[in-house]
Amino acid sequence: MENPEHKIKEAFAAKDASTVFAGKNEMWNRLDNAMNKQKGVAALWRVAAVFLGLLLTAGVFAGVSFRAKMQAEKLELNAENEQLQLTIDSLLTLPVKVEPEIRVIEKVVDRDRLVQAESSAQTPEWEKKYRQLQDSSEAILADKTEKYRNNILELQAELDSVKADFVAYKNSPEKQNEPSGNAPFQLKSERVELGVQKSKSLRNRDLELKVFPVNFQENKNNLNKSILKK
Amino acid sequence: MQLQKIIHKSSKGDRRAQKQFFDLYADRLHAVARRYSVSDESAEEALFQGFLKVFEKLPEFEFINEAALLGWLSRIVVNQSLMDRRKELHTLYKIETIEEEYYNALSYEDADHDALIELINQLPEGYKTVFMMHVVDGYAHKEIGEMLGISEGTSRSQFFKARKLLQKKLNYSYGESGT
Repeated sequence: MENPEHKIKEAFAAKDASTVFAGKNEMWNRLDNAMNKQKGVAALWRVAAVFLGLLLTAGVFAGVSFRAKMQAEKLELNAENEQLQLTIDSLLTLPVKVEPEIRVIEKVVDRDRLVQAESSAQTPEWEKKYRQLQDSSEAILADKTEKYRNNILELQAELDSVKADFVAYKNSPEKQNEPSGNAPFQLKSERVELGVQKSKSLRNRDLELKVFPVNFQENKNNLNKSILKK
Repeated sequence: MQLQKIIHKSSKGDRRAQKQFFDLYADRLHAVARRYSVSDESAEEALFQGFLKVFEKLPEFEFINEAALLGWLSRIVVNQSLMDRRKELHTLYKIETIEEEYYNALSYEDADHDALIELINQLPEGYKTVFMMHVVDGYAHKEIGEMLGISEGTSRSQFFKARKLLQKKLNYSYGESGT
């Protein structure tokens, strides 16, 4: 006896073999279109891939060249940096002159102090008069001072002019040529004995008392006078 | 034109050869797609997507004989048909139970091809899919498990439940071995 599964398999195989797909042509057209579209898309992707490849190559090339350029620039900058460092080092070794800076600082300090409050109403009468008197005295004093100063200036001017006249007279040719023998006065040398010279410092009172007693009267016996008369 | 030549040209993108290839297998593959799809529209869509995949993968296919080619084509179409149903079937395998009232006992001797196909179509979806994959298309339980996203044990149990149901329906005894 045949197994039902075998029979079922046969049944399905027979059915499959007898099945005719009605929409075969439509499906083929659909498939054709889809595959053409896929082909177009694939071609587009191929072009895109080529383009991307070129772009990538260009990018890599640009990257490499840029890196090389940057490397060269870096080396150049390093060299310049070293040069600058050397310059800085040499400048640092130079002796440094320190000039002191002088600053004048004006300090203003506000300070409070006690002053007498001015109130004319409370000022006493005597103080007013005193002030008036003081003011007038100061005015008179100033006036007098001015007057005396003027007098001094006049006298000084007169003295200067007299001095000038004297000098002019002294240096004048008439004075120079004047003969000395005709002068009304002449210097004549003679010998005078002055006696014992006493020191001026001898002002001892006791000593004077010894020389001149207490009852000494100047009018009676003035020895000094007699000595001088002689 | 020889089948091998058709396959070779089709794999190279020759549209005429591809049309020949399509004409040769469209009917049979449509029947396969119809077996595993819930509607004619979904079967046609599965067939369309299946053929797109076939033409895409054909350059990688190594021709041995027509039976192997048919197996390869069927697998692609079955996979395509089951693609959207996997989740649904997975849920069905968890909740499906046999209802006794469902039976309509039939004498095995009296059952012709159409009656048998009708009987299979009346099976619950989960049982039916596993049963057809194993019996009609010859997949092993391991392969069924992989294709449906279930375990090999689930596939096996589903198959035995389906067979038990059929046994009752056909009033047929498998004997002691049960295979």
